[in-house]
Amino acid sequence: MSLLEVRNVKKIYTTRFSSNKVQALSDVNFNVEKGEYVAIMGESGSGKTTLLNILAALDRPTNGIVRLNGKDITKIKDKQISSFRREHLGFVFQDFNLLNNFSNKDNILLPLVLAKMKYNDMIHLLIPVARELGIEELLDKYPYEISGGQKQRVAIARAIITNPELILADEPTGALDSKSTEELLNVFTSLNENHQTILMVTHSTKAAAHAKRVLFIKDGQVFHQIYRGEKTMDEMYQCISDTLTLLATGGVHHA
Amino acid sequence: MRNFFYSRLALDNFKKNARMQIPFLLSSALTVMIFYLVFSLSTNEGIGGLMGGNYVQQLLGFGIGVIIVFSIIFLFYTYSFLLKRRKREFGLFNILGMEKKHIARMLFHETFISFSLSLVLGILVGILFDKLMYMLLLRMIQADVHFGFYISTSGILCSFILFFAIYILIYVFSLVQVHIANPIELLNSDKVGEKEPRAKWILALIGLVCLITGYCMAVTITNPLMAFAMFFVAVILVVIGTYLLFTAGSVTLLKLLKKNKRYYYKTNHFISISNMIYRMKQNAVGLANICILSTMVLVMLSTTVSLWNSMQEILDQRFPRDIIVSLRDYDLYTSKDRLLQVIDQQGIKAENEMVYRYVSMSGLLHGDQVDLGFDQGGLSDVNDAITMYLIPLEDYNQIMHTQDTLAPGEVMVYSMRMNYNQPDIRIGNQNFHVKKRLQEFMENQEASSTVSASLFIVLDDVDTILQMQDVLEKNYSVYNRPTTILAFDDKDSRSQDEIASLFSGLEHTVELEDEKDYTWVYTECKGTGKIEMMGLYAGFLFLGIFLSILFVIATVLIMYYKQITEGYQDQERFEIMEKVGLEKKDIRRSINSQVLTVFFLPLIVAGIHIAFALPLISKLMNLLYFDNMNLFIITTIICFSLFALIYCVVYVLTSKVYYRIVKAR
Repeated sequence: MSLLEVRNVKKIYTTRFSSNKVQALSDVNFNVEKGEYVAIMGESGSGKTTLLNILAALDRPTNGIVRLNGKDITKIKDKQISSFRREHLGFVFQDFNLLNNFSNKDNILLPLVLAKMKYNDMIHLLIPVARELGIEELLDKYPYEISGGQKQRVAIARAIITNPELILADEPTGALDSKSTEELLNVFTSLNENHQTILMVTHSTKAAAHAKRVLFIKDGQVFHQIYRGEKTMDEMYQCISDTLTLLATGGVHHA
Repeated sequence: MRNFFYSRLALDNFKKNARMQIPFLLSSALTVMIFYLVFSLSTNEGIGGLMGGNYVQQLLGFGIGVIIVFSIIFLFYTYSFLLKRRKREFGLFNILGMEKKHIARMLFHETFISFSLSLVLGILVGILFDKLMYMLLLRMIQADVHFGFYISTSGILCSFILFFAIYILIYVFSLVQVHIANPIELLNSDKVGEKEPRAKWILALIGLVCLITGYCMAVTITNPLMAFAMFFVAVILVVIGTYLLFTAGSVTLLKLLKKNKRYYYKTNHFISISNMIYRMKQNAVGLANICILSTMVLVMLSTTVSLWNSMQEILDQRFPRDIIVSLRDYDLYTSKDRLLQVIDQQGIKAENEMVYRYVSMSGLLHGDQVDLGFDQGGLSDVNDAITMYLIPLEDYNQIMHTQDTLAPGEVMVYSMRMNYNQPDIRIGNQNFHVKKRLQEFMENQEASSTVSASLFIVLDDVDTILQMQDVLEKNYSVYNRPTTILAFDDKDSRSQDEIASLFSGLEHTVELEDEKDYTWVYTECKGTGKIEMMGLYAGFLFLGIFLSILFVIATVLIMYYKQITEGYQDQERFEIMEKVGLEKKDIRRSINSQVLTVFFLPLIVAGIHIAFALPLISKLMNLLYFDNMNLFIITTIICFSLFALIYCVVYVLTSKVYYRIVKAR
């Protein structure tokens, strides 16, 4: 059984004051296996963010099924959705979404506090995570006191401290300079080497080239996919870049 | 054409920022109205010409000063709120190609619109209410109401000058704000991370000490004169204490809670505490302002209303009869007859006549020893100072319809504003045995018009009294003419002047050889006293009400802006929390508890302040002859309940705005 199954997912937005309907996702199908590192690429307006919101249970599809570990997340009741998200998913956002009124340590502990864990147990979880991400020294500082790359590492720490089945990353490198981007992608790779499943939505060819598989979305459906296989990073980069060109110039449907 | 562009832009901005601008405009207009009203009433010749009216105008004139100072601070303060929220907008204009001078021009139009609207609106409403207030005031001091419309041109002019100056200040302030900021800063001014405030132990401690000292002073002072001297000290201590505790104290307390890991890392506490630290950092001063303003409103309303309500009672105490004639003369043997003779000769239809003689003297009471001849000016002795009224037994029996007897060396005492429980009393070096402590006594207007502790001593004979007077004059050079009081109700209800002229025949004030032959007559009339008192108290009441309205407006506006500002800040914060996995109902609960705490903290603290201030203020009110503690407490409770009700209504209204902002996604 796949960790994540997406079947025939369709999303139509209706605006409140007009009968205009916008089809964001027409028919999306794909699976993510445990331990995979998947990047989803696509142009602006291709429906990437909509898809991610549905996977994150922040939004519900008009049609279709999304199964995480065999459980259909589109059927989860509103009341349980927050705790479901907390227990099974970890999020990394483009703009970090750290709370300035919490120290970095408290930002990382936030999901654990929400899960009503004991303080000593929290610290036991925090120490290895902080060491792994190299942010031990930043713990007592506040988000506004550290750089973008450091913020994103704190955000990752927050995402993985609950030991989630799946990490959803929305343009995680979008607000970072090239050096920080490189560092961050290495963090993702090493997380993935430790069997962490990652699903990342991105614009950046460089970021996508780190993934094991890249899905391309166009006009609300999965258009094409590339497996890294034995390719080197540069070969992968070239391959993605070619596909993007093809997509932009209106190539043939492959998937 | 270009001017037209700027005014259009300014108007558009007004509409766009209606949520912020309209409340500011309204409060500005209301401030203009109050200023105009008070100014107009205090210069209205129709009031000044009335008996008692000059008291009203003096008090209102004092009020004008308070209102001016307050308006400046208040409008400036609220406008800075407004400006803070708009910095982003200025940044955008700047980036879109408007130079700073263009923004300045736009701001000028905005400020001008705001100024003209609030001035015109305020004065129009002011003129309307002016007539109403005028009639109300005349009714209160029981003068005839004349109809007609009254417009105070000087009032309009002064309002114009004052608010023109305030708006110029506001304009200059906003120019400086725009000028010192660069566009990127302006754009991101909302998003700059704020440092977590540090715990300020020392300041918090100082605040606590100030507050406790203030409270202790308020509770322990028993002497009215002492209360008067220490009132402002206590007030300043409490104000400092309030500010320090709200700013430093609250943060320190929250930090302390945060240090307790077991307590802090619980879902509810975690979010509330860390949010509250920031909330208190940004709003502590605003909250302290609200608290102080609320306290002032409550103190003013409850005292002025109590005074007004107890006026009749105070009047009866001071004037046991319609007319009181005091004859100041050494010849106590014939004084009664001389006074009564006038009544017969002049054919005054007197009823309920009451005539008695007394000598008053001051002293310091230690145990049962009264030391005479001290300097009354010193405040250090004020707690032991008493005034004694020596009255012959004959007069006491006559008035109280009793048949008490006293042997030489025996006295009966009646104590007022004090307790005297000793078996003996030594006055100077003369010893008396207290035969009886009296439970009731005739009213004495001299004692009721002072605030010092008084001891009425009934002695066996007029001779004894005159001997003591003699001792006082010889040993201590204290000269205080004996007094004979004639009090009666006059059926013809003559005026004070008429009565005075009837009794003027008794006076001997032309140069006489012996100092002791001089005689003076003083006449007091309840009617005149009443009008004066009504003028005074009506002035207090009006001032209390006007200032209360002004302070309430200020409180409401500060609360409103606070809610809006917090709404925008919290919106983002809660959005993130939801993404990270906080449940909606937890968010709502957390918001509720924080908003409630922040909102009702000032009201609760104001309530505590009032409770501690009650004893001190009641002592102060003794100076205004007010002695009815129960009435005062009840009035205060009613005022507090009313105020709390208004406060709750404001809470409901403003929290709606707040929730709309937080939920708007």
